[in-house]
Amino acid sequence: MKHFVVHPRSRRGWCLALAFALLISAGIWPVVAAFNRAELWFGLPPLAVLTYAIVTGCWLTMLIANRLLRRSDSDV
Amino acid sequence: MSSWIPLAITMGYIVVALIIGINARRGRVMDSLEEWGVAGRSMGPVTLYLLIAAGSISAYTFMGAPGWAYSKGVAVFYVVIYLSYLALVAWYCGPKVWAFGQRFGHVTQGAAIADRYQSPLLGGLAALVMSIGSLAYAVLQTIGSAYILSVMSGGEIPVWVGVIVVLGAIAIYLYISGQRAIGLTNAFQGILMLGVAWAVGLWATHEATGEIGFAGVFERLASERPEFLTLPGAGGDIGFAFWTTSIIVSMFSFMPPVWSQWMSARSASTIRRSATWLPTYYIVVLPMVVVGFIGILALPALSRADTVALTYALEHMPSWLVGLLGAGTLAAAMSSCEPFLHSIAMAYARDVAQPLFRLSDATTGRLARRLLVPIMALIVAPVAIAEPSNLVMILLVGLGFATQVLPAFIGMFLWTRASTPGVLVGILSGFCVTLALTLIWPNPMGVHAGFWGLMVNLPLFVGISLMTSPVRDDVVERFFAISAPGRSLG
Repeated sequence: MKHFVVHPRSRRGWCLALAFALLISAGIWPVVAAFNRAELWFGLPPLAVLTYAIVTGCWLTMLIANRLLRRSDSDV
Repeated sequence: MSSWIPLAITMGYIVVALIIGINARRGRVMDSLEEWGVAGRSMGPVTLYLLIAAGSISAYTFMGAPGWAYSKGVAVFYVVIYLSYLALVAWYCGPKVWAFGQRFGHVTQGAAIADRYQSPLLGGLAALVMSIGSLAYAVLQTIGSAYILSVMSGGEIPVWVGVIVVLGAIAIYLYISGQRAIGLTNAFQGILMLGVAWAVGLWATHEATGEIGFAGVFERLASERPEFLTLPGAGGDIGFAFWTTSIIVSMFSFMPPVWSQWMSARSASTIRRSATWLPTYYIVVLPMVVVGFIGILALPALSRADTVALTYALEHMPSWLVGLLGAGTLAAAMSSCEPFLHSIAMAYARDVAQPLFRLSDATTGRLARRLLVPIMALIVAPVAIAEPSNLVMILLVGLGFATQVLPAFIGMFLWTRASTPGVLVGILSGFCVTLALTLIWPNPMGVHAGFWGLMVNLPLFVGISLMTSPVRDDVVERFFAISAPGRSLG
């Protein structure tokens, strides 16, 4: 029997996996250390700006992923 | 302030939630788990969006999050980040869980685990231990609800009466309409919370700075208390390690109610559409957090940080807005409490009683519904009225355990070779480490106890899985036809 670890099988799938990984990396150390400053960007602390950039990034990435899935016609 | 207005608005909210919850049944027979438990797998994208969003925004958002901003500063934003990551997890795993449920008839998380590992023992064990965290969570939300009623009534409603009122309302509509009541009441609560949070946040900001935008609040903090704008925060206790590991641990906590919510969707793509828009809801946290930041300068001597939003509202806002804040906070607490109570009743009936007493599906469905009231009356209400001081500790251990079930999910979604002994040893070892590093030596080196648990859990899970027999091929094939379509073990 040949067991396996699930991984993307197309370039599109790998791009999505990479986008998910980049989003998760953006919210943790060491990226978060670069935003840890006692100053204001657009009237907010840099960590708050990073937080809402991640929120927007997650939303946009999933929107794009849904379009890609529809195009490849593979649901579930 | 007219003292009856806030209480009238808050009680009015309970009445509206009760009417919506009771009417959600619409003549359906609720004696099957398929209907009472997962709403006949019928929920559309908007209801599901509000169901999951309101379920994840607990009383923490209206009390705890402003409290964290007040006592620790920007560290509070880790919550928004992990909630957004939970949406990514829902987008990837949710459709697969829905397909497992639809094809194999699962209605609970424990049933899926028992089926994948061909072990009712593992399914029952996971359900029982998950229920510890779920019960603690439900009790905490109940205490928060009773506290709100007490504050809104100027202390006239004692905690025990508040507990009975809130649990009584939830019991009535949950018993009558099950998951459909949770779906519709959460939709109402979700919209209410969004409106109230922004109204309170903008009012407080205007009151404090004379402006509508939040910039003035942070400009004052930057000049007078800059330590609140960076990690490790004003208390010096939230470093990069705790921030990072808390996010990782929280995003891998597959709590049972979330599982039921995914299974309640109309289709797999419904879950994807709802998950896609979920992060947009979490802007609800921002205005409430700003109230906490305003409190740093306006209310410097508060003894309980989590009362900052309510205290500020009582001192600076009109009574109708205080009432709406009470209703919004109560909505947040109830919308998080009811899915946990519902999932506990289902887990005890389906994952523990059914395999133990060999009950039929019909009997199990009726039992789940009837277990709801004893769970509330004999466990949640007495514990909530007693207000135990170590409940937060029980909750932290419970949530830490939730993450330790991760190997069971890796074996469902990612790795065919996961074995039953591997999962069991991983879960038990991770739980023991999390327990010890929560109670005896809390969060060593500033790293979340649940993360230490995973560091022991995952290597043991992989090693023991490789050393022991995998689950039968036909079972693994069945699950991975959904998790990895187009690939087979051959």
